[in-house]
Amino acid sequence: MSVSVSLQYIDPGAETTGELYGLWQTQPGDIAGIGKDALSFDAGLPVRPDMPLGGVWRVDAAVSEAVEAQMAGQAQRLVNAGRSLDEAVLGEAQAATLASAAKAGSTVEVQRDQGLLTAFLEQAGRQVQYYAWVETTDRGIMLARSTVNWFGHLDTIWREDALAPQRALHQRSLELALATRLTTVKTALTVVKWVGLVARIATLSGPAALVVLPGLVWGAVNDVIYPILRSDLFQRS
Amino acid sequence: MASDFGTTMRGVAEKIAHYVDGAATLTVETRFVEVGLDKGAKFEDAKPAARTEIKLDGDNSSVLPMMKNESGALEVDATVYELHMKNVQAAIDYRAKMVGQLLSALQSLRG
Repeated sequence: MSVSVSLQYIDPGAETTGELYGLWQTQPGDIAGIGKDALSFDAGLPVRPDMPLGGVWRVDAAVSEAVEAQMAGQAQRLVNAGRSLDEAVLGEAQAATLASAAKAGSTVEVQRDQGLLTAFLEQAGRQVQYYAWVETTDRGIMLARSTVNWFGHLDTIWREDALAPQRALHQRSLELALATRLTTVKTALTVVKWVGLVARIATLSGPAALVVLPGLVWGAVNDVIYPILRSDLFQRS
Repeated sequence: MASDFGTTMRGVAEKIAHYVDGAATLTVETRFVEVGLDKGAKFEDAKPAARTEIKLDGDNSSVLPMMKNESGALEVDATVYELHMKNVQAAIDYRAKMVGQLLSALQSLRG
């Protein structure tokens, strides 16, 4: 059954709208100050004065067991994608192919992947360096906000009268946001590891290793995780 | 040029090591905001409800709200406790996975 959940990642460093893992709708925030759609527990109050550089993970849904189950499934899918990266082995043949392509130089596709990788790594850096906010609303009514750093320092402010199912929804929001951040870090580290591995095997150096190869490896890493993230069971409504 | 690539990889490893070194204490805090008051509800007015500190060496401490029951004995507010401990567990799990990832990457970069 498809249920309605809005998942937004407001990224202060993003320049355009997009999506993350086919799950979160990403949109630029206002890095200079106030978020575009700042939330408060009470309507009409001044919006928050700051916008976290680590971004805002915002979940809005009509609370139900089906919504909670869907979000749990999405978090699990991210875990599965991360596990696939752990288990993925960069074979000699694949490494040789990547090294050969890197030596051949950049192509339009590789340049596109280089741009995507750069944006991704910048986003990963923001997620790791700064506190992120995780906000949950029930059809627009603010339930809770958690602030969390890369290491897990966690500060949660709850609406005092939140009901048990609403509290459970925010726990799922937090779970999903943290699973996403872990996937981002794992993906970035896998790219770095694989680049190092291919460069060592093929004794690559200079622009071939530092400029062309990362874009190629980025494509190969995405080939591991996206079939899992985009399978039929992983539908965002 | 070969040393450029090696330098880059060493720089990545040093950054990761720096992050892991800085991850010594984990703090989890739970607060509440009362809504429907005349003055309005603001995040800045959130009241502390529970706080837990966990160190990497295993030491940990918690401050939890207590209430007097009918017989006058102090007992923990079960709802707040459950809510807070779920977040503590989520933070512990997340930290373990994050540090595990970083150490694994560090190992392969230095290997």
